[in-house]
Amino acid sequence: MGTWLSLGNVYGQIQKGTGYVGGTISFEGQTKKDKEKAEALNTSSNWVQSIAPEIQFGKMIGERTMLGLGVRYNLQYNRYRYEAADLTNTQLSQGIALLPFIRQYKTLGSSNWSVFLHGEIGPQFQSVETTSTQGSTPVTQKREYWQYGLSIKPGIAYVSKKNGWAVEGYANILSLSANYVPSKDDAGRVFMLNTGISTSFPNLITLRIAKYIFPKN
Amino acid sequence: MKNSILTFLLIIFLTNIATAQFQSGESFVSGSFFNNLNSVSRTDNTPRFNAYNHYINLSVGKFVRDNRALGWGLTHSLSTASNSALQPEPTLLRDISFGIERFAEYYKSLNDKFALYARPALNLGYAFKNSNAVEQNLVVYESKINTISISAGISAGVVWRVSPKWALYGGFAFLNPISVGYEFSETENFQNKYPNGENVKSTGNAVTYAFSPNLSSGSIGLGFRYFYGGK
Repeated sequence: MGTWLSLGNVYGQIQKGTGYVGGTISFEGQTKKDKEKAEALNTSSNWVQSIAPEIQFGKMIGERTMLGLGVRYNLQYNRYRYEAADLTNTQLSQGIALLPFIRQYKTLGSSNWSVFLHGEIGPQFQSVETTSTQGSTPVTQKREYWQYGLSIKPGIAYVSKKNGWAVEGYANILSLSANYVPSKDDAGRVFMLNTGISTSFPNLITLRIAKYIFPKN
Repeated sequence: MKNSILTFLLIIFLTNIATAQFQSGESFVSGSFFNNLNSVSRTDNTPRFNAYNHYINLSVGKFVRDNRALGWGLTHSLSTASNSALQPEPTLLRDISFGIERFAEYYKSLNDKFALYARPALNLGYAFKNSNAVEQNLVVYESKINTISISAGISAGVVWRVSPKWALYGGFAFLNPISVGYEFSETENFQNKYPNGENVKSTGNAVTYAFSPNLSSGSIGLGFRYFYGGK
């Protein structure tokens, strides 16, 4: 820790060999019930939950460069029930992505603030399962596919030099992302490219918590 | 996670305080306001359109220490709209809300006139909303939705102390990570009728919750503040 403090102050850089664990999570949900006034049997209920955690592990391979691997998972569950027709629809959508990344850091003077450029590329596996049950006959449809993504985005980090805890955010000032979904069965190939540059204050930044593990020596 | 964010902001705003620009014992009243009226009427037979909305925020507080204040705030908003092109014409009142918040403010001086602030707040709000769906100028349904919500958030901005008594506030970053709400509603369906000709009506109840650590810039809000008391 002492090493980091002095190195950080003198060179404004992160020490080679520093380990990194970072992540973020968001979740939301809704439970809703609707009842028709004159027909009590015309009742419907809807239950929606979603959660999306992400975790990243990395290591500084130089004074400014970090290599690492990120895992991103998302789950969405939606259940709709309509009593009068004895109908239940459920949808479960899950995705997991493995994203190797590279980061180039620049520490701002001797402060706790650093800016970095984050680039990641990797596959994502997505599965969507839909079940519709009317009476006692469930009809299930399952769709699974792979997609490949590449994105580059700048970020900013505030790293405590005392204990290595950090808060970071990616900014969408400059972005490049490409998505490729290969052809499967009768579905065609999809290629999407998004680029953008903006000088305005980024509209939305997802904050993440990270810990920099400084090597002991 | 929330603790870390708080700690993070506290570290930024409490370290390296050079000058105490806002002194312990000072009290303040601050407010922000906007209103907007849009009215279109014509002498020919084309439909008329009117819309009005306003937003009022009032807060009072006191500096409990140098560069640290505690206070209470009230917010109110109203939105009305009428559009004679739609059938049946939707209710004039579209949106009304009331909120109360408990907040703390932490300052970091940039120089003797400007400072940065972070403002964690806890909000309790009530909103009533008339929401509708329109298809080819016909109103399909109209829902009266009541929402009660509790949320915790942090906003940050810059303050310009124009004179010893007056300051101008501009918020530029907003974080609302945690919210919980309860909603009850009544919906009238205009295109789905019973055999006796009455519109189908239904009631709804919902519970919602969310955790999203997203920082947004929103629209930059400006507010005025008047200081009194203190030395």
